[in-house]
Amino acid sequence: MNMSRTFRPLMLSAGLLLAGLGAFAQCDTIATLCEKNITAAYIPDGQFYRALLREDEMAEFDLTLFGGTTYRVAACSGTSDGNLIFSMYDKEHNLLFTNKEYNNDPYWDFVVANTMDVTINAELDPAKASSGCAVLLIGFKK
Amino acid sequence: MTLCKSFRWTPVLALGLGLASCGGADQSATQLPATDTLAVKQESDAVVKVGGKLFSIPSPIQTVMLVSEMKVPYANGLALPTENATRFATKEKQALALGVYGADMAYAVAYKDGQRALKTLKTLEQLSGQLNLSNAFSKEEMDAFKKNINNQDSLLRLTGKAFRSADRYLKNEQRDEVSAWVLAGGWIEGLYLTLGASGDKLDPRVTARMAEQRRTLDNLIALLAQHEGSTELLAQLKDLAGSYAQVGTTYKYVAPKQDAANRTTYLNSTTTAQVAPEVLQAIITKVKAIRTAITA
Repeated sequence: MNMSRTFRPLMLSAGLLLAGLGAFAQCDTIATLCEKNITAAYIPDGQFYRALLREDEMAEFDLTLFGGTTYRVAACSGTSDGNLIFSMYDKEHNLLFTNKEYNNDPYWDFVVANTMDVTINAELDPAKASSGCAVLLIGFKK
Repeated sequence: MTLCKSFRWTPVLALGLGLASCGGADQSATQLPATDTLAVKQESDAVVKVGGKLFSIPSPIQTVMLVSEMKVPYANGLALPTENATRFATKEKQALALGVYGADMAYAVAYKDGQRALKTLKTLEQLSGQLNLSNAFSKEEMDAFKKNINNQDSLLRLTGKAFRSADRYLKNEQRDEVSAWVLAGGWIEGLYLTLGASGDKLDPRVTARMAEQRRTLDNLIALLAQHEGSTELLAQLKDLAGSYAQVGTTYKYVAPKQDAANRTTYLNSTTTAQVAPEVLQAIITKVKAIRTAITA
């Protein structure tokens, strides 16, 4: 009995660890699929953004976009396009863009005239997914 | 916005080239359901690693490309010497150096210094070994770099791809503190190269780029503060942030223009930074001091 009590949390921890590793692998796979959207014209920004989302959860990250640069933002979840809604806001929370208005397009380009701080929010389209790994990739060109 | 409703992304820039091949995650396209379903909270925690705050740091490639675009002459002695990289004894020092050399690599590539790029690549490989990131540079990657040694665009793309792969690897290994140090090293070196290459009389574009780093610095401090160590570095960065607090910005929103046919949005808002000469000089002095400290 004591043994059982001892091992139970260990097994639970092991299970969670394996589940976490599985989730990592899934995000990796989605990233590999998503990379096709960052075409050869763009230099990858060297970062890998990901989050596991459920229902009404929203991932958020801040980004500085430098003036004179064109950025490509690719947003993916699952193995098909259009599962992820992403929106960009400025520092005053003015909506600059949302792919929701464009059939959840998996990528979009941003031509930046002047350097500005923005926030990107990403959430699953509830009509297409209730939970999953969200991956966001960014490339840039001059 | 409550934490349970909103996560922040964890962008951790890993500047060590080629870490992707360190035995990291399997990147092959394994089969997934069309819509993946992962409803276990613990999984979410395992991946997101929120810890309350997460951060984004601009690519050092962009930073060093600025001086290249300004036609500033290449300064061969500006980058950290590639010899004697074994002197970095601690993991923090090694990771910081990895970041520094990553930015140096971008600088060499931006100026088409192929020989320097190759030397830097070898140093990165050496440092990766010291950080237990053995086999960091696969033969394929080395071959790809050598094959494209005279093709700047290809090398920059390869560099960016390697950075991203390294980022993925380090996240999977949950070695966030290593990622943070590498990130810090790359950021400082990017600024150092930009300042050093520009000489005493700064181009207004360089001044503006320096002033635009305030938010990034805040993010970097918060990122490093999540992990043990970095006491000295954190103190220096906080001191630098004190100077950055004196940089003013004025933002004016301009409605963006949408071009749906070309999947493009034109962002036309304007941000103007105001930085007094003495404040700028203080920032420059502190950046150089931090670079000296992390490369000592």
